[in-house]
Amino acid sequence: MLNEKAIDHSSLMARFDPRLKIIGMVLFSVLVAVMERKAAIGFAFLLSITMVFLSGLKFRDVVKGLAPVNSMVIFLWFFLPLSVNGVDIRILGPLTASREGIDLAVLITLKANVMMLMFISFAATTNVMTAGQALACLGLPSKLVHLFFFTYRYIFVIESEFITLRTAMAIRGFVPRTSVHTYRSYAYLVGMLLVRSWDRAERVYRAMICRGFNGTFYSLSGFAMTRKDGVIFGVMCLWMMVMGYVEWVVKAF
Amino acid sequence: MHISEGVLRPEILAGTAFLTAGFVAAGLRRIDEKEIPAMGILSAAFFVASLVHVPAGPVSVHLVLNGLLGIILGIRAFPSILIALFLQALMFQFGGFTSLGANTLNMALPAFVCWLALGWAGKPETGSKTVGLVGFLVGFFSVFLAGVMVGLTLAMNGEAFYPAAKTAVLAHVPVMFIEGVLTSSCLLFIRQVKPEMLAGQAGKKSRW
Repeated sequence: MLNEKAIDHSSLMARFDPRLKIIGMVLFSVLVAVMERKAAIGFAFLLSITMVFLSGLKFRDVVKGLAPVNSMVIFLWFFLPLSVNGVDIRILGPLTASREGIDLAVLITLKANVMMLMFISFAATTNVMTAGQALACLGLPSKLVHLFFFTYRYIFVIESEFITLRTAMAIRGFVPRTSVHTYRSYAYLVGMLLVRSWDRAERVYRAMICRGFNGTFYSLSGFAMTRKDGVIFGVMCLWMMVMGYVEWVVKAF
Repeated sequence: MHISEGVLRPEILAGTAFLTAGFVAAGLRRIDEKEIPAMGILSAAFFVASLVHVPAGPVSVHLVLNGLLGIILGIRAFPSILIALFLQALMFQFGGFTSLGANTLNMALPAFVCWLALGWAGKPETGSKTVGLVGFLVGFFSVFLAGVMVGLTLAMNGEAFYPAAKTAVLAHVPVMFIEGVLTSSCLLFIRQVKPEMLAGQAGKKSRW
C-alpha cells in the first residue's frame, strides 16, 4: 500500500526553503553529471553526504533509497568490465576484465550514488505538494503544475481501487498464471480502474467548479526566505565551485 | 526500464532533455484546463501500472501501459508521462532527476508514434475486430520501440555499452507480447464501457 510519507520537520534540510533546495539540487545534479574526475566526485560526495546528515534520515531509509539506482549499476557491472578494450587483468581463473572497463564502471557507480544521495536529501525532506508549489514559484507552466497535483492525488485513489478490485478477483478464485486468461483479466482490471476513476475525476471536477475553482490552487503557507536559507545555499554554491575547480583546474589529483 | 542517474553522457542527457521539453510544451498547448483531472487519472494509472506485476513464465514483469496512454492522449502523453516519472523519482527514487528527459522520451515517443500510426482506431465507428488488432499492435510496438530507444540511448553512450544495450532490448521482448494482449483487451473493454474516453483524441487528429 502506498503511503504519503511523513516529513520530519525538525531537520535543517526540512526547514530549508524548498525553492532554494530545488535549485541547489538541480545545479548539483547537472554539475556531477558532467564531471569525470574521481577526485571531484569525492568532493561532491562530501557535499551530498552532508546534506543527507542534515536531513536527519535513518540509515535504513538511505540504503532503501539507493537501491533502485544500484540495481541499474549492478546490471552495468556485468557488462562494462568485459566490453571495454584495454589492459586485461585477471580476476578469477580464465576470467579477465579490462582496467578501463572497471574504471568506467567505478566512475558510473560513484556518480550515480553521489547524485542519488543529494536527490534523497531533497525528496525525503520535501512534501510532494510543497515541491509542486515550489516548482510553480520557479516558473513551471501552470498546466504542468496542475497535472502534477491531480496525478499525485489520484495515485492513491487508483492504488486503493486496484487493491479493492484485485481482492474481488482473488475472492472469486483468480490465480495469476502465465496465460492469456490472466492477461485479459488484468486488462479488464486496468480498464475498470480507468473507467471508475474517470467518472470520479469528472464528479470531483464538477464539485470543484461548484465551489468556485477558477484554475488556481492557493497555498495557505507562503514561502519565506530567511538569512539561514541564504547561508546554506551560499555554502552549497561555494562547495560546488570547489568541485568545479578540482574537476577542471587542478592538475594534482 | 528507468535509466538511472550518472550513467548517460552529458551530451545525451542534454539532447534528450531538450527534445522532451519541446514535446512537453507541444503537448501542454493541446491540453484544455478542463481535461487536466482526467489526464491526472491516466498519469496516475501509468504510475501505478509499473507497480503491478504479472507473471511471465518463471519471472514476473510489470505493466507499462505507455501505448494505452498514447492512444488515449496523443501528444499529451508527453506531459502525462513526464509527471508520472517525476513522481516515481520523488517517491521511490526510480530513475532520477538528470535522466528524466531521457526516460520520458523513451516512454512517450513510442506512445506518440503509435498514436500517429494507429490513433484513427479510436473513432466510435471502428469495428471491434479492428480495435482488437490495433490494440495489440499499439501495446506491442509501444513497448518494442521503448525497448529499442532504451537500447539506443545506452548504445549512444559508447561502444562499451553495446552488450548492455542489447540485453536491455531483449529484456523487453516478453513484455511486448503481454502488453499487446493486455492493451488489445483493455481497448475493447473501454470501447464497450466508455467509448468517449477514446473518442476524445481521435476526433482531434487534424489539430495535433
